[in-house]
Order: sequence, then structure tokens, then C-alpha cells
Amino acid sequence: MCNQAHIDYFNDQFLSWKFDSCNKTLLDSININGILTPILTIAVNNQYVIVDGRQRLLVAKSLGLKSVPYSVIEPDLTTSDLIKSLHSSDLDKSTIYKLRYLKHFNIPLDNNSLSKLGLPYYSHIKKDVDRILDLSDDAQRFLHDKSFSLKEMVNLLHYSPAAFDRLLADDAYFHFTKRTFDESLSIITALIKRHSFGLDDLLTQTNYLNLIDQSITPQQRQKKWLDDIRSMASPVLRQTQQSIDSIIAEMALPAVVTYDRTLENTGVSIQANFTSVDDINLLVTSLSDDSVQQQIKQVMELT
Amino acid sequence: MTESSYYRDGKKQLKFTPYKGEKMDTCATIHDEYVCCNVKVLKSVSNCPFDCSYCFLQNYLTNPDLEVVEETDRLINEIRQKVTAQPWRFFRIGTWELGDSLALENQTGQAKTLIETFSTIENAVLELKTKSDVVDPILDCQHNQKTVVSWSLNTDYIVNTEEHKTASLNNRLIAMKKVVDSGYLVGLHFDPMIYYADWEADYMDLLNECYKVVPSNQIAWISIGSLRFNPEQKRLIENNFRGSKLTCQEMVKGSDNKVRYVKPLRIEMYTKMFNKMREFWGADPLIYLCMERWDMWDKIMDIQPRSIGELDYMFADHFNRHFPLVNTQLPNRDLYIKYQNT
Repeated sequence: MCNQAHIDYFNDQFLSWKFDSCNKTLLDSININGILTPILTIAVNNQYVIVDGRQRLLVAKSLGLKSVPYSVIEPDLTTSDLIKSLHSSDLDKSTIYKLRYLKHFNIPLDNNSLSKLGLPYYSHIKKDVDRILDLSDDAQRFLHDKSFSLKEMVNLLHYSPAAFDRLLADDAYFHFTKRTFDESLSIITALIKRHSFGLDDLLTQTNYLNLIDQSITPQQRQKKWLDDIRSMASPVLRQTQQSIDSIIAEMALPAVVTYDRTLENTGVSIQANFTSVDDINLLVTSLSDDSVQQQIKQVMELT
Repeated sequence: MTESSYYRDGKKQLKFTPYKGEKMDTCATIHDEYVCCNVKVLKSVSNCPFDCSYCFLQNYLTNPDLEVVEETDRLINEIRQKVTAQPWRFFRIGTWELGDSLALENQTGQAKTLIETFSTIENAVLELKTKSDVVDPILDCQHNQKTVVSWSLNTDYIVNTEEHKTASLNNRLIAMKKVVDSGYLVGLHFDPMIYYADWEADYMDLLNECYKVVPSNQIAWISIGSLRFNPEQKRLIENNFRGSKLTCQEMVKGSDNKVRYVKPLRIEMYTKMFNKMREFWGADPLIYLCMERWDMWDKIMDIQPRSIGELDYMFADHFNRHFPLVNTQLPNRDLYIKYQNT
């Protein structure tokens, strides 16, 4: 049965593990039609505690509505099971929501509870979960928005915390995807460890601050910066590639000369397209040249 | 990950398990392009009480329990059966594939039994590879030099920062001296070499310390290899060992899906090690690269083994020439090539 009550009459304590979000469609709809689907509540200590419809309530408040429709249910489930059942769709989509839900209802992190939510169990999971939930709300929100899995979040925790916070704060300039956020953090953390750099020094050296000031799109900024840090992370490989590229350029062979750019596979590959006997003769003559053979040998020594 | 499948959980308690299935196999790292020496492994131990940050067991073991096969006699039967089936082959059989060969010897006594068994097997040597200093139980064994006691060695810095719970370098060297004095042949494995600021000076010091302990004529073999792991293991290292700097250097992925230091770095590291080894111990000891490409052998050591059969033959030939009482028969190269995949 649907009733009306003053908007301040409701308590949202069971749903505070969810993030507030601004849903424009919902806002427009409530603005025009009011709340069509009553807020679902249970009665606890003479209070109406919301179990579904928190977003509708928040929008109604933002629009200055004085009262909202609601229903009261008397479920046979525990509160945590009721919430899980009503919000299974959101829980399924977000690992952060799962962790926040578990913590909110003080559910033990044992194999049984975790497997019900599709989470893995291991002996030190509590430590990992605590560390994730110790992150700022902004950080948790970011992980939620980008749909990080538990494993992916745990990986992030082992990167430089200062770098994590910095990239998070500057996400509006870069629009990191889940993959590029992880890769950027991985490379920066490695460089900090490798050279004992401070974060600010590293950001200066990798052109980060200049890029933020440039009038380019976040995607362009992200690509440029990733190129810079990838290059900085592989100095020996880049230098060797440059040496080989310049030797190949000097060869001036009537053919395409390639090599494995990881340098793992030794040797060169020479590919030519013949349209006449002259083409064959030209390549054979070129390959017979002592200096070309010497150059090929140099490349083979470098790969 | 299911309950208790975390590899570290099982390390705390030793379990004895019954013999099940075949335990002797070829080293699991075998690959077409990254050359394996065709060593055979006896999986008598699974998991390890030590906790090295680079250990592949983090990513490999599905059963985390620290287990030792209790029916050593059945292991021995399997070995005898397999070495008898190929009498032309000189087998090298190690017990280190999934754990440490000697760390648990005080509790198990398994190595002692194996040493005494191998002393009577014509065409095989046993390799016990360890990062421990547990050698006292095997010093009085009748070994006939048919057991090679090997150490996985690294610089003091790496032992202290990455090889957790293992014996210190100094204690390993003291143990090595005891084993040398007991007449055993010794294997030295400088693998994984790890690149860091002072790597060169530290690895040269390490070789110098080993040189003081092991004479050339008791070296069965020396291996050199560098840090390598698959991409999933990189994550595990970063997660399991937060302070470790292992994964921060310049690495590339090879066709075996493992990342290694970029090739010019590896060449520099191996060349310096190889030259110093030759300077200390001369031309006699057999030095090989573990899990490296064919062309690296050529670049570092000027030899070009082209197949695992050829490499297997190289070991047999080396033993026949340098330790004729250990491998009494002249090896037949053709057979090693023909049956290289067996």
C-alpha cells in the first residue's frame, strides 16, 4: 500500500554504501511527473528506513519536494539479504559496491559470504579489502566507475600511492581508461623505484605538467604522455632500435629491411618485390656489396 | 582462487604424501627457442619453505601444500626403470623442480637415500639443488661422485632483499666448503642474475667468494640465467613482495611468454660473468645458459648447440672426458639427437 510522508522522515542508513549519482533522466522525470514508483521502506524503531529508492529520494530533495510516496514491506529476510536481493543488479556490476556492502553490514569475509557475491577467498583478503576501503571516496568512486575487479584493484594498491592519488586527481585532463591508468601507474612506479626519483621530478621529466597546460584533448594528452613514459622506461631498447634503424637507413637496399623490435629474435628480414629481372639483379648486386654485408652483420650483432 | 590455494599458506607445515603417478619427467621449462639442457626432474618435493620473491611457484602451484613423497623406494624404482630403458644416455636428474632439494633433509632423510641409490646407478647423476645450508646429513654418504650438490647463488644484496628465509650467502658458502671437502661434485647456478645499480661489482665479488671455496676439478657444471617470469607472475611478485624492486627494470616479452631483461643488458651481464668464470676456473668447467636463445650461446660463449639433444650430448661428453668414473661410456651423439624428445 502506498502512502505519502514528509521527505525528512526517511532514513537511508542501509544504502549509504552506494554512491550518489546525478541521473538527468530521473531528475527530469521527477521534475515533471513526481515520483511514480514509491520508495520502498521497512519500519525500524518507528522510522522508515529505505531499502530501495534512495536515488529517487535524493533527486526529490534536490528539487525541493516536500513529501514523497512510499511503501512499507515486512520481509522474511535479514536486512542484508533483502538489500542484496533488491540491489543485485548494482552489486553484480561493481566490485567496489560488493566490498562496501560487505563492510556496511559487517558480513564476515569468509569463503561462503564471498562466493555468494562471486568474490574469491584467500587467507589475506581482509587485509586487501581493508586497504581498498581505506582509499578516499573519490578513489573508490573512480574504481567503481571504471569497473575495476578485485584483482585489478589489488594490483593498483601496490603501485606508488602518491602517483595513484596524482593521476586520480588529474583524470579530467587525461581520461584514463582502466588499462591506461594501470599501465601509467605501473610504469611510473617502476621508474620511481628504478631511479629513486621523487614523483614531482618524474612528472617534470616526463612532460606531464607541460601537457596539462597544453590545449589538446584528454585523449591526445594521454597518448603523448604514455609515449613519453614508455620511452623513458625502455632506454636500452630505444637506443638500440635507433642504432639499428640508422644502419638500415644507410643500407639503401631496394627492399624492405625489418627486424624484431623487441630484439629477442636475432637477424634481419629482407623483403623485396620483383617485377623484372633487373629488380633481381639490382638486389643481388646491392647484397653483394661489402659495405651492405657489413651493415647486415652489424644489425645481427645488435639483435 | 579458492580457499587455501594461496601458495604461501601451505609453506608452514610439511606433509608426507603417497607416491602417485609418474614423478620423473623432463624439466618443465622446455621450449623450442629458449634452450633447455634436457635435464630430468624428479618431483619428489612440492613447494618450498623459502620465500623468494621471483619464485615461479607463486604462479605455478595449484596445490599450496609443502609435500614430500614418502615412498622413496617407489621413486627409486621409477628412476631405475627409466634409466635402464635408455642405457646409452647419461641422465642428469634433479629433485629441485618444485622445491628445494635439501632444505627439508633433516625431517625427511630423502636426499641421503637417493644419494646412496645413485652411487650404484651406472648412467645417471643426481642433482640436489638448494638455497639452504643443510648439508650435515649427507656429508658421510657413500656418493661415488654420482651426486652433484648444487647451490643457487646470488649476491649478498639479492639474498638479503629477495631470497627470504633462505640461508645467507656466507652460510651457503660454508656448507659448500663442507660438501667439497666430502668429495662431492658441485654445481653452481647463478640464476636468476638480477640487474641493479651495483650488479657488476657484486656478482664479481660473488664469483670470487665461490672461487675461494670450489676448485675447478670439482665443478660439475655452472649455469647462468637471468630473471624471467610471465606477465601474470609480475603481478604476483608486486602483490606478494611490496618492497621488491625486481619488476622495475627494462624488460621485454619473448616468444615463450616470459619477460626478460632487454637483450643488450643480458648480453652484458652474461659476458662479464662468463669471462670472469673462465678467468677464475679456466677452460675446463662446463658453463651453460639456462633458458636462453641459441644466438645468445653464440654471442656469449662462441658455441652453437642447435638442439636440446646436442646440449644433452654436450653434458654427457663433458662428463666422460672430465669425470670418466662418473660417466664411463663414450656418448653417441646420434642417439642423443635422435631421442632428444624422450
